[in-house]
Amino acid sequence: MNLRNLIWRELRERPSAMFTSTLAILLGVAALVAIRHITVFSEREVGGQLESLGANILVLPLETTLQDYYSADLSSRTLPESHVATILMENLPGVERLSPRLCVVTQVANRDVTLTGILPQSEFQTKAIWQSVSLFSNKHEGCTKPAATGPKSYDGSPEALASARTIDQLEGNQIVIGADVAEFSNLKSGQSTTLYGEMFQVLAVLPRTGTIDDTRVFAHLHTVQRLTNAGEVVNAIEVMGCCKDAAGDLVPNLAKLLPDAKVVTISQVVSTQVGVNRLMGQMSVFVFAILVVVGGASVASTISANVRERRREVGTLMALGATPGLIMRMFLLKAWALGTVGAILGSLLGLIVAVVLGSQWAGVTVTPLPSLIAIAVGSALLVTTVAAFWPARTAAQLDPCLCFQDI
Amino acid sequence: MKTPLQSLSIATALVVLAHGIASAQAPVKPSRPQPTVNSEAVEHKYTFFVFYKQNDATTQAMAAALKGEVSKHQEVATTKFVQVDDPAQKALVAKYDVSRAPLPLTVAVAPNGAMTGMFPKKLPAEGIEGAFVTPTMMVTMKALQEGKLVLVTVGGSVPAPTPTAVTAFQADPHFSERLMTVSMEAADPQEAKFIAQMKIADTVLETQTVLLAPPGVLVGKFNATASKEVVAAALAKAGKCCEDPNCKHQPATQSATKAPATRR
Amino acid sequence: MIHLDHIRKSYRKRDHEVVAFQTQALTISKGEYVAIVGPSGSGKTTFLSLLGGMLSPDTGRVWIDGKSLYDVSISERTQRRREMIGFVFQTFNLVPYLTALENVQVPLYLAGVPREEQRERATELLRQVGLADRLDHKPCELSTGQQQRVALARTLANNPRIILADEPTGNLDPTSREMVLTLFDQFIQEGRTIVMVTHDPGAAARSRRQLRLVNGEIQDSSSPSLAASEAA
Repeated sequence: MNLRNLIWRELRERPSAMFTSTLAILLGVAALVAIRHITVFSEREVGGQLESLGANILVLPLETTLQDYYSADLSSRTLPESHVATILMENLPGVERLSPRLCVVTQVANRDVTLTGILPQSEFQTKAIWQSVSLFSNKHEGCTKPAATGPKSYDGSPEALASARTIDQLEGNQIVIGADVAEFSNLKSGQSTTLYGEMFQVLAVLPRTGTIDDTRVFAHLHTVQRLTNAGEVVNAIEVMGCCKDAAGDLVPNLAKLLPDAKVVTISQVVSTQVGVNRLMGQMSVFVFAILVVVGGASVASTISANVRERRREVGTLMALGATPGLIMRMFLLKAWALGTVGAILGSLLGLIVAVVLGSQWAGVTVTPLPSLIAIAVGSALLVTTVAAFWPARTAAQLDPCLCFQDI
Repeated sequence: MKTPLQSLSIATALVVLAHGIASAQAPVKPSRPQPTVNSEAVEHKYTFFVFYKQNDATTQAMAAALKGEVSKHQEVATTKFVQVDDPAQKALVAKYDVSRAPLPLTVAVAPNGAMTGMFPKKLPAEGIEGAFVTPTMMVTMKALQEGKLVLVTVGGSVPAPTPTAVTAFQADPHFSERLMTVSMEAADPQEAKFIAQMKIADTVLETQTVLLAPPGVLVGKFNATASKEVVAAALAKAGKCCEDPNCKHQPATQSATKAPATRR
Repeated sequence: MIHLDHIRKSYRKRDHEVVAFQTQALTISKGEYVAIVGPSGSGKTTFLSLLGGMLSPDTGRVWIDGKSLYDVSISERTQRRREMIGFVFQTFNLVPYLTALENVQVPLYLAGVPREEQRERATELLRQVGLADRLDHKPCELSTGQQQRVALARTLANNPRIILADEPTGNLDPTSREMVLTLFDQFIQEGRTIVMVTHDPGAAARSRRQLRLVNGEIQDSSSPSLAASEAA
């Protein structure tokens, strides 16, 4: 016999009596863990996008609604391709590269893929001459871009298309395919496939990005225009600015230059998500408060009831030689046991919910954050301790003469 | 209406060009097709090519405006109209890569083949004056459009020998084929426009060297005693050295690949 | 062994003071078998509580083996109670969720006895009271007589010199009652001191000395027959 056995035997005797308070803690911790995990990973996702795309601007058809940067070009609405030349000729400060795109859904290996026409940077070499017409390129003053360390400040290789957002060389009969396309079609670099009745050679397979680019097939823009009879149009023009500051200044300039287009930055695209993340962050604070109030009240109520129904037992234990400190520890440890079980199960449940809902609702991959779980468990135990302290103290101060009473 | 001084400047420039510029190097075969002096351009005159798709109201408005502007510079400018869908004009359209440009588009071509102006949709309020450039600008723009580096020696009021860096670059086989050197005087009234664009005072005392890189990047301004290494370092820092990642003149190229945030 | 000196314990109820117990002097010697008799509300439970170190008097001292029980800290008093005093309750007061063996182990655990020794001693005590085959039974699985025997085994766990019994036969059938009283006789022969509160005249008659409590005051009735005549 020891204190742990005493507590465990009593818990085993009437488990359902403790269910309510354990459940309250479990649900509170689960909600806290789930919301915080999703919020943290969503904030990281947004932060990553802002970091990697912060200097980028999208020029889209006016009526386009946009929720995801990576699928901005999937609208059926179009812009004239001549807008690319218009932007170049204007020689706006801070414009580094342009990437016009045209998308259409087609099939590869009987699976839907997004055939994306993209203009390789080699097509812009002649166009670069246009910028020399005004002799000096309109350099962005105060550019925060790190000093260039080579001929280019980006990776122009085909494999880097998804991250660099442009490709240097792409012939009319070449394609670059996403990771998912390569997987289900068993296509590799150097192999050929047929699209719209024409043969294309796979120039490269992109690494997996976790974005819609994994299901894209990239071909030369003019080839896609020809095959689809779309004409000289694009769905979107991505403008790569030299730095975030330049992008900020470019937006009004581009909007003025192209009044029939919508000009958005990644900040605007993710602004909704940023708002949602902020809201979720506030909600997690609210949930924590609920945890404290409801969970704490439940624990306090449960332990108080337990003390009341065990008054004679407490008196008897005192008569047998139990100190007030032991009585207090007995009830506190019992509360901690409830809190620990609730916290651990709640953390597990919260983690499962975060992994599932994070993927389905927020589009983020959630992995356990030990520090976050530790905080949630620690908070639950703290709440439990505080809530059980007064009832436990009351028990310790019970009159031992209760052992003689007929209760 | 031009001033007499402006007309004299343009005429003088054309004469100078006709006899060659002393310090210019013989142009080498360009690495990629570039607009050059050829039969499309009229000899000794600026040619304003009007590329159009349809003879619609916008095209006619541009044509009318251009006609009025060119009439003020009859002795040095002329106009040519090019329908982009005309098979006979296919090569010209491809040369200036205007098939998918906003049309109508007026392209100003100097007598030496350098593009000196582009006016999409309509002429600007100031007209076509901006397309007329100084002699040194013309040569410089041509070289830049051919993908070359240009070292412009701007002489100050104090006479000085050729800057050290210029001589060194000319002697360096790594640069000699892709470099053009030109010289001019800061106080030359014909070059006032160029001097102003380079932000050099026309009363400067010392000789300066200005390094320009394609398509029109002002890499830096250096005094006459600047070494070749200093100038080369500035060129490498601007990422304009060359396409060779192993070039000794530039730091090790870092990968610019950035993976996008993983979703799902 | 036990000496009460100018003891007074009272309670206030609605501005009215009720004297629960008081005595000028009372001595219970070592090895005495004392029965406390009296009507309900006469102060018997208060008296036992005072003797058991669970209720401090308003005035006076309770001496056990020459040491004042209420002039020490709660923890020391608890220790002395644990080492010297055993309780027998009318309602047995077994812990309902513990087995017979575990119930007997509780005072041993509170005294700091190692686990293995706890088990050995508890088993032996239950064997002595004839419950060797009921070690793993919970109180609800035992008869009232068996429950009281488990309670008695628990009382003896720490080998107390003083046994305070509150109506030990109150809820028992005759057979069990006799068993308990026989055990009490055995305890006396072992040299222990018993103070028993009882309404049972027969049980009181088994004692060597009877104290009558009336309105919280002791009336010493040494004759065992007094309880019988009072009960009659």
